[in-house]
Amino acid sequence: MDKGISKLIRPLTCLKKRLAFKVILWIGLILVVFLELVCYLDLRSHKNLLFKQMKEEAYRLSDIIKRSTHHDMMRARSNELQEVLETIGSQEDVRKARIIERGRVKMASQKEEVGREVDKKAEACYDCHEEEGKKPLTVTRYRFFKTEDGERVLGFVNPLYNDEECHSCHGSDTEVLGVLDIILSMEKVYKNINIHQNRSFIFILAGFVLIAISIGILILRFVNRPIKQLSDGTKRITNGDLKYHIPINTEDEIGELAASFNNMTDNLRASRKEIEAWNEELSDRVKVATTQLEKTNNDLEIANKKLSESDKKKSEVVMLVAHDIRAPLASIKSCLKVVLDGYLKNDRPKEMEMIRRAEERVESQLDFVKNLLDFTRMEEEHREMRPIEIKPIVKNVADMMQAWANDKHIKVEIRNLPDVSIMGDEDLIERSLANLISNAIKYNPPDTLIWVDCLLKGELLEIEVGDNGVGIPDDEIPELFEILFRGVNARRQQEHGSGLGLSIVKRAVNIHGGHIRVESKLGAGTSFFITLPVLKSEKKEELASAHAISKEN
Amino acid sequence: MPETKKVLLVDDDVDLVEANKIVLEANGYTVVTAYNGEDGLNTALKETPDIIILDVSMEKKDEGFYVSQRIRSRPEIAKTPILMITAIHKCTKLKFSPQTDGEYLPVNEFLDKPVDPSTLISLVEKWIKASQN
Repeated sequence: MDKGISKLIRPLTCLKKRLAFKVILWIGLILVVFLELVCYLDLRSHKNLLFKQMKEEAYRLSDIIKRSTHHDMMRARSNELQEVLETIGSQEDVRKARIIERGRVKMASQKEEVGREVDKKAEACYDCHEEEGKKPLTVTRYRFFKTEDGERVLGFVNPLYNDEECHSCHGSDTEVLGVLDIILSMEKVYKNINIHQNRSFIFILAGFVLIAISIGILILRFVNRPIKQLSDGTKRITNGDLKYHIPINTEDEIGELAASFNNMTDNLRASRKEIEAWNEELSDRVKVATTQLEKTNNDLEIANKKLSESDKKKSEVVMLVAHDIRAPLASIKSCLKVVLDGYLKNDRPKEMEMIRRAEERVESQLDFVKNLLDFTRMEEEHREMRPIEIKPIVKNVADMMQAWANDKHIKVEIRNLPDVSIMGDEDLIERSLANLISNAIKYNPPDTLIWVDCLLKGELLEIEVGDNGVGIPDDEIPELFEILFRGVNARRQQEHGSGLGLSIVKRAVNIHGGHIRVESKLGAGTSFFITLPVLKSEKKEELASAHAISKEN
Repeated sequence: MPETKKVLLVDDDVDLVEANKIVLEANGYTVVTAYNGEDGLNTALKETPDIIILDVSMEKKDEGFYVSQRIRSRPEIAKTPILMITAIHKCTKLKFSPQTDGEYLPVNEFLDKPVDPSTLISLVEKWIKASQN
């Protein structure tokens, strides 16, 4: 039930909030008050006019009666006079017409009234006879009152003066003989006024309705619709549709508002576009920065890994070096201890042998330490590279090695040997070749063939140091150039190698911008290939002269 | 006269083997030698020594570890005491597989090179006696 009421009330409260409703209400109220006022004034003046007309009519009628009865009066024909009054009284609007003399009805339109005493204090008399002895009425008097039936009437009292011609009958002692009292019905007038009033009311109502409807339509057309469009537009824009334009093209204030609103939307859209572009750029930049950062991080991780790997490797190398120093020292000590503790005091030759063994180990140990130092320095030392000829170096090394190889009936053979130069360090090249040839001599059986073959391949010189000896097992190849690596064969040979020979060769070749590789087959032999960049002849001369000049200086 | 005890020396360092051989023979032991792991295992199987003195780093850096495991896996010589000697201290960070694998290194004593002659003799005596009880 309550719900039903509130359902009814809600639209009303909504309506109360509506702009149109407010405008209609206020303008309507003002109009109603104004029209009411106009009507009231109009009605009043109309009423006054009608009353005045009524009074004039009453006066005229009274005058007519007075004049038309004058003759009868003169002749004292009271019966005729009575008839005249009756005739007049029968007229539609005339309620009464009577002649009153000295407080008594003398004649009347209604016969039954004749002879009746009139209360001087009654409404028709009161004005003049209010007080006893007051001067009787000398002028006509009007009065409006209601009859006992409730009819509104106009009473008109016309005094009958005691003219000279009347003195014959009435004497001359009184000024006024009596009054002619006429009562006219006012109902017609009031009806007229009522009609007028009703018409005015209908006009006001119609006007009000018309104006309200007009205002409503106008507000709807010029205010409500554009405002709804504006409000819908703002909703769409709020929801992100910045492309929306409010379709109002009027030149009034709302049109201006819509235009500036559209303008604002355009600006907003432009700003948003800018922001979006900026955002995109920002996100791109962030992406790029992130990628770079990731890359840097990755690089750093790799570098770190490499560093820790190289650290690990270094400490491993240090361990290996420690082992390779400590093991021979242990041997030397043991050999000497046997002698010193007198284990061989009865065996002089054996004693000497143990001392010789110790001495030999000290010798090889000195060699090892020297090689180790050389190897370590190779990386750190700054070398002066200069043009060197390959031919004399190869020949020199081969000759030197041949002398040693003769013991094992091994031949060191030079095959091709072109006349080329390289930029480099003579000692290192010499030493590299010597290491490779001496390895071949040391670790191969007697009667092995060793060869050195130099081939020019474009701008590169390839030096092969090969043998037809025992070969190297496949599993040792990857470790061959590692520092302190010694193959099984090398260890079995009982030669006190340092494990540094091939490491030194590899490092030396790398310093010269070249590289080394190995091909080997177990039981068939091994070949090392050193590749070095060749120095072009014109450049060689240039450098040689430069070198000569620097020497002169 | 008591039966002489037999010692097997396995080491690739001939000078050290020679020196230790002199010391052990002077103390009444019979000495057999081998210069790599493979030979060492074969000699052990052939000669059934009372004790084996084993080097770690021979042809391979950690050869001694594998030799010791193989000795323990052969029933006829599995109970022979092993003295392991090396120039690299046992605490080294070098990767000796049995250690990094957390396996128990099946040797009786772990010694640093060089071992003093008197220490060597007393340890050999001690471990032979222990293995016979």
